[in-house]
Amino acid sequence: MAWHLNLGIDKRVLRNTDPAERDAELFKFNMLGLMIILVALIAFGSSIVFLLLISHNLVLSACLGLLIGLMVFNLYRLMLVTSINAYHTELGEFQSDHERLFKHIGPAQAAGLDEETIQELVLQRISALRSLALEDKGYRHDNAQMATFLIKLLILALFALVFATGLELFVFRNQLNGAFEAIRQVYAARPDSWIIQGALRPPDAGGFFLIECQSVLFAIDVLKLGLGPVKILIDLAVVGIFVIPLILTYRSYELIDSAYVREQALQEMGISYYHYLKTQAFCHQIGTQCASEDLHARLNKSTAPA
Amino acid sequence: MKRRQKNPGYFSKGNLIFWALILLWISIQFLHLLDPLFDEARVTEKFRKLEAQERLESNLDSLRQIVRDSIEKKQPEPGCPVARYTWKWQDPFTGRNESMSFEICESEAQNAGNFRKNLRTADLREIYIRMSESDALPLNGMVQSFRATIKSRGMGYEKALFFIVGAIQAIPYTLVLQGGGPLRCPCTLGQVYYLADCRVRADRRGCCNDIEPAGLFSPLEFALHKKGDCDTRTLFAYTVLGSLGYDITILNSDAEGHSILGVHSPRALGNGDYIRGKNGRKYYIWELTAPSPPGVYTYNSSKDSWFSVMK
Repeated sequence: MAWHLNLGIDKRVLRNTDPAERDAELFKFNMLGLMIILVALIAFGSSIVFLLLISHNLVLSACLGLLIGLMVFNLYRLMLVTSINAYHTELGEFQSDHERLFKHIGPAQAAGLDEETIQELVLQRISALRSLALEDKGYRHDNAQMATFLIKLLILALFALVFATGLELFVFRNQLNGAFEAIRQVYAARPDSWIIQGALRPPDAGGFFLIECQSVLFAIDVLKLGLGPVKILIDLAVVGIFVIPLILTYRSYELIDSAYVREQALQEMGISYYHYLKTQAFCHQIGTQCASEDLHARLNKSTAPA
Repeated sequence: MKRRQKNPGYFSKGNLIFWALILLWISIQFLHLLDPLFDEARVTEKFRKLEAQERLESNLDSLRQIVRDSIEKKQPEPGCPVARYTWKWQDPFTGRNESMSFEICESEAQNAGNFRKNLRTADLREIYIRMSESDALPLNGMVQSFRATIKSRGMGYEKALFFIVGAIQAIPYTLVLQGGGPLRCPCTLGQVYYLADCRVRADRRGCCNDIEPAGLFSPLEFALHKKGDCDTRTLFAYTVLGSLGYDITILNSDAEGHSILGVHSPRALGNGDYIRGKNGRKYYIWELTAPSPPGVYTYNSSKDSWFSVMK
């Protein structure tokens, strides 16, 4: 399936690459796209559990859970896609520094270039840059990229911890309900206590749904008590699921220096270069015209109908 | 800027770990059917302790109310002058020199031993209960002083317990014997030679004869004169701590010929040695005749020889 579309990957960008390389590229982005879907599904499912604890209404919980799931999906996609760029490579320096990109041809040389010549020059420049990118054997991260990555990682880890708890509440719902029943028995002699009245009393409208508790924090407390240190391990598994795709976009050169990133960067630079040449040619044309003609008199000339 | 070499396989490894974690999560769904991960007993135990603690606090509050009410309702008679008594001791747990004053109606102080002497029963439990109930009100002044100190120092449940028990343990031991028994002062008991001197002695060799019933001073007498052996102390602690809302009992052993305090606590005390009460609760043992930590069983006989007298 075309999971890569979740990332906004356009297959047409890869038209200049080898079919085998294109398939390998699409496989990687398909995997990444699928990871995003799974993460969004985890957020969706976990949100439903939390919302059920609050509302005990399946329809309401499903709708709000879907909303949260979609929000997480878009936020997560934003974090991943903004990490996939060419700034880690030699090519990225040309992309971010246009002076360097345009230095081979100055305004004087761009004078009088026609459309065909400009397109040919662009193709030559892109071809040269592609050769440069293919020869580049390393990649790098500066401090700003590292800081951005760490902030993204922290945000995703926090999300993961919250959603992990929701999943655990769902997975261990039967054990939790058993524990709630045992707690009810312990507090049987004190029915006016907060635990009975505030947390374990069924909602006025209808009964419990899924988890027999009305307090999210109380349910989490019982879950933590019941699981003990195992909860940390399970949490870490979910944190891993959330952060691995982001780590891959930061550390895996197979993604950040992929043919797709390269071709996308080249395409953008080609467009910039083309418009630069067109602009220089047009500037030269206007300059020549200014020098040979009294444009001031032309502007003052009455344009009113005779 | 440092450049990294392009290491192949990073994506493959990361991808593999991701799916492995997904598989792990899916497997947890099935694992939980076997209940190996969730310890329900731990949850129940925790909430049982919490409930006990809350109940204790609640009892303490209601008891305070009862005591307040009883004081308001039963003020000392206008004509009854009060006598002021002071306990001074060094806290065995903190090493701090402590002092606490309390007031007792003089007529009650003078009649302190009368109720005891007139008791006509051989049932030890009944003796304990009647003496404790009888002296609970005269000891209100002392209980109030303990409460005021606890409150002013912001002591919690456990610190207050140590404070009161420390005050009792710091008092030197005095052997108390009933009439007609096998022993009379002076005598040797447990490798200690006790003198025929019914006073509190720093060398812990004081001994009193003919104290009826059961060689036991009443809690009020202990508060006034500080004379007492094991059972006098446990009965005094039972009365005072009980008035403060603690769940306590008196633990006796015929094999040891000894009496110690049993304290129920939401948290294990000391080494955690306990005797089960009649109500099934754990009562952590506490020796009162000398400075000693709670929950430490140091007796020769087995724990089975001990029984809870009160609860």
